[in-house]
Amino acid sequence: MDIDKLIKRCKKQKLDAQSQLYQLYKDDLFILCLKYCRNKEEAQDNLQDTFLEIFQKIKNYKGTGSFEGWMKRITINKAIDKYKGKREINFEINDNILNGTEITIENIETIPLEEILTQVQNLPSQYRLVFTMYELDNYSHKEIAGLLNISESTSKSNLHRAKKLLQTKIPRPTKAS
Amino acid sequence: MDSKNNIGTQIKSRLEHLSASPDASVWENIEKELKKKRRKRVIFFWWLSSGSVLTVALVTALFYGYSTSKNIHQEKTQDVKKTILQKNNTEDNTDLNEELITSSKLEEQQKSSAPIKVNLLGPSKNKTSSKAINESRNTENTSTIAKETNNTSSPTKESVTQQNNKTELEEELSIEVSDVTSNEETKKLKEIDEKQKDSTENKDKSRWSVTPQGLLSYYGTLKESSSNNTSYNYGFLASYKMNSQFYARTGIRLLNLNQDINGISREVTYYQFPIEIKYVPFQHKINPYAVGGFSYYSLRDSKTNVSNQDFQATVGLNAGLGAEVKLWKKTFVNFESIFNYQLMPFSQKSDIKPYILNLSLGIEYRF
Repeated sequence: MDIDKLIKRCKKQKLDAQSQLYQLYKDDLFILCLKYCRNKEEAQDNLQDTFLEIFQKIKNYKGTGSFEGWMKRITINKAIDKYKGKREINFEINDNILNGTEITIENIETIPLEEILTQVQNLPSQYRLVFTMYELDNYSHKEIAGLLNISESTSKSNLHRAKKLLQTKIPRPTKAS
Repeated sequence: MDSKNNIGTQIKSRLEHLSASPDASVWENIEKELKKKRRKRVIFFWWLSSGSVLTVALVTALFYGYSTSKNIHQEKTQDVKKTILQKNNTEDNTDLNEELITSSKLEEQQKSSAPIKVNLLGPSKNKTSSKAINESRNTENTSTIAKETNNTSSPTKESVTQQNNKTELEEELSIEVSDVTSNEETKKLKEIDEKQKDSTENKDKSRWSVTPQGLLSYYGTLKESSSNNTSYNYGFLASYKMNSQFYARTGIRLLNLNQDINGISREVTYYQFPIEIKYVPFQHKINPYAVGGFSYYSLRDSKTNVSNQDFQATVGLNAGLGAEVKLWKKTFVNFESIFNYQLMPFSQKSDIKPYILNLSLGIEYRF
């Protein structure tokens, strides 16, 4: 069934159409959730909330922009709502700790994907949101500042610190002796 | 290249190859939530509809209660009138006695409502009547009767004396009743006659009616839990008035029905041809009624996401309640709630036992 017909039937709240739409986009949106959430369980929760909101708001979708983009925005906004304003305790960062540390492209390719994802997920929530939005989803600092209710300079600072943390947290590949 | 910029680009590049799928439980939870929301919507809707029907029923009941008390009063007045007419026509004193007894009983029943004044006489069965006679007439004869009836030791003597006195009294009262009737009663009878004449003239003699109607249909099942069951439909009915209370009616309804059962989505379109009897017990401005009959369903279209379900035409049983409200002389608005139970709607063995609950709103024109 083509996507327009599927959307039309979803607007009529047809369960079979909703199921098909879910099957079509669940993986893409789940990966997006994994990058914004702290772990798989929270990502699945976020995915569930996202689809419920999609099915509820789909009647408002006018078909003017990309449908996929519209769903991704809902997914990201859900994650933002979940973590916005949350400040993890026991987190300290030393800006000097990573001086001189550098991971090359060659090195990062040898690190398992799951490990990289885990380190992104382990970032403090606000850092993770800023890093993912800016680096992975091409939001500007101005947009991030608006969505997270922070200043642009705070957004830049959070991004900088997130990168430093990742540099130190992502394990270096062991060199062959 | 600056490492701060590199790390973002590098991670983005690596994560583009990430593949992952959520657990099956995610969709199960979503489905559960969706069904729960639908159920809440349906429950809200049915509460709203039931509330409306209940309100109409309540208004009908109140209206009927008022009308009934009014009718009882009218019926009693007519009975009195009948009695008086009989009384006027008779010359037989024995008959007069019986009629007067009837009148006396009626008078007792409607002392407050019936203003007709009738003097009464009857055998000592009715103490109130004797008392009334004694007080109103204050005749010696009546006193004698009472006295002798109470004190005499000889039954034969009592009987003879009583009979003689009664005859005299009846003659006297007959004249009095005659006088009263000829004045006040005649006026009242004329009024009653005029009222009856008006009511006969206003009575609707229409035999036929047509009713276009809009329906809200709930396509449910008796055996399985289902969701996504509601749809809006329309139809047309024609009815024939068999007598003052019974109507035969038929028509056509186009029913686009849908339901989801265990992930199987069904959408069927039927032409429904109902053949029903409508029973309207009262004839007021707002009348509750009952409907019963059967329907023939002709399949027009069917869609399902499971290929082995095959739909076919079927018959069903109908039963329901409704209320009609008179808007103008020949125009009524009808509210109905009809339950339709479908008999074997699927050619393959299916145990879901579907039913259709229709809430309808129609405008009926009689001619």
